[in-house]
Amino acid sequence: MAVAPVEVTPGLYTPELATVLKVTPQTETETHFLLRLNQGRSLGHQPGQFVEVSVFGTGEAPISITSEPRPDDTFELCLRRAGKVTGALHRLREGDVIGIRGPFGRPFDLEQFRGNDVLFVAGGLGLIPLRSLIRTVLADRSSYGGVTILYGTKQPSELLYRDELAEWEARDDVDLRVTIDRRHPDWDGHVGVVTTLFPEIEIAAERTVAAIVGPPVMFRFTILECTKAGIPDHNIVLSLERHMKCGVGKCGHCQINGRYVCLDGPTFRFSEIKRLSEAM
Amino acid sequence: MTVGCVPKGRLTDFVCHICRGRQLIGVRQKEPGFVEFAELDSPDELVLDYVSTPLPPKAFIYPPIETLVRMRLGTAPQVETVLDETPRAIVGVHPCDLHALAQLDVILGDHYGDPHYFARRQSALLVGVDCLPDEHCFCGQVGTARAEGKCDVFLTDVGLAYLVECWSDEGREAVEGFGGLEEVTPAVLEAARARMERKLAGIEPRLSAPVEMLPMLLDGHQKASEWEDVAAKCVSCGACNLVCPTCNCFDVYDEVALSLTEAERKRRWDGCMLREFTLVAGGEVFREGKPDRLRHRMQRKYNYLYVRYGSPFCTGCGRCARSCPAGIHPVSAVNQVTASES
Repeated sequence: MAVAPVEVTPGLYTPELATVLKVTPQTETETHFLLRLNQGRSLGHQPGQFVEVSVFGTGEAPISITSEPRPDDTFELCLRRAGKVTGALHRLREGDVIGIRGPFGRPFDLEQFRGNDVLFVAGGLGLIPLRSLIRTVLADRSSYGGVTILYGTKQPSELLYRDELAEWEARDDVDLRVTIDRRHPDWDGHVGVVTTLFPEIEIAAERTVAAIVGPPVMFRFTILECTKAGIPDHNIVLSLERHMKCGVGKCGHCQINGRYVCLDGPTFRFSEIKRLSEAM
Repeated sequence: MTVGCVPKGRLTDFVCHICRGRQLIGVRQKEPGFVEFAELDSPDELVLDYVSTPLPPKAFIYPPIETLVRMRLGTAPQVETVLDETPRAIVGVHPCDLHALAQLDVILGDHYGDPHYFARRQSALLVGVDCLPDEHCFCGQVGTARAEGKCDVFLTDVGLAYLVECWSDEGREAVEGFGGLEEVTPAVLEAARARMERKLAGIEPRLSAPVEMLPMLLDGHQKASEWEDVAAKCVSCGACNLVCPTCNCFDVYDEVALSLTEAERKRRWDGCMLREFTLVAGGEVFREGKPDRLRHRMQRKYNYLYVRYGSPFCTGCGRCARSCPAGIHPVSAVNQVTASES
């Protein structure tokens, strides 16, 4: 009492049940899951958003949604086996039931991309959140200008979505370039970090929007390349990783200076965060 | 609204009356020189003349550990939200701690209203009491010395009696029917005014700039290196987070019952002064050094949340300074950093 009226969100931390429809191993450490909420509700997400995923009795972790919004109510997650929760998720089989909260976070602003050339740059696991946006763009291909996808991993064995990479490679309206950090016997393609692909592509800076997702060091160098190419800061869009424990602006774990990654992000224009000392 | 005076001899009866039907939480002496907020066995235990408790009364609205969800495990799992709507009366809350709850209301109510926090919050009757500062208190510097409207009933020590004010309908209902109230005389009002004056005059730590200037001033001190001198003494123990009435950060984890068929999802207070706080799966820690973390805590209290929500997220209660093993006082820290050239 003596409390201002507040709209309480019932069940804010209570997961909805979801069933694993299909498990597709991607690499030794990454697995892809097809899921559907048990209550028949569509997740209703937009590219760039994330969910809090529960393995009941083990815990909860924030995971990016890798699928595009689609009419059949299914959605997809892909994650690396890294900790307790993601380890347990890797033991899931078809038919298992997990918990989902969300979707949370500010999605990519599709309006910003429409009508422009789109430059996707993914480093390592960064392809997972970017895939949702890539698939959304490719599903409505004529609304966009040129589409370039730059993707780099440390080793060939870490490449995700090989089938899809082959599909994108085969398309005339997509320029896909894949690179591996260091020379490797199983790889006869481009070698070097993802920024070494920039000299090979043409960027029309005035009509290009770049979407970049990767580890912090990759952000720093990729932003530099985009800036050098003349892309203005507000057309460089990033998705940042933090360990959001709540997803709803309460737990404080994802705070970057005065911003909450879970509420204000995870997608940010570079112009919004370039002065934040903790962003990258 | 002032409603009367309670002679000190009738305080126990008054507390019994206004807290009827509620679990009584109040300040009691645990051992000599040590008071705490606790569930009282009897209103006789209540101590209203105290300086500060190590932990804020926040712990009864937002407990250090609480269950959010109960889960049945297995192939057909079930989940159930756990809410605590126990009617409580929290008696003897100082203005700084009342402000702290109002600040938590803002952050825990923003975008999504936290159901667990507000279940307890809306079930609690808050009875405030005025106070006098020690050498660590600085409420007068951050605008929290008075707490009008931030509790249901407020008591001011006016010598032989307490002046009673009701600031909500629930407060008025709680007091209604108590027969022992005496009239408020001009002398009583004068005593209350003089006491507030004495309180404000007794506050020692002084910010070198008005609190309204801090967001702008601190914006110019975002480099970790500028916080190195202050942070050199810090031992990263997180005590300041633990005792802070406005710290709201938490960790979430599951606890499985011995039967292995049930589990509880819980949250517990977490602290941004601990290194692991910003750890992500890839092993990256976004505030690696003590200066990074101290800067974050101070910026959060006097800049980030101030800008975001319109008031500083520090109530000047002085608990962090009292509990800091290295003797870091936030006022000195902010003064030192903002005095340096950015």
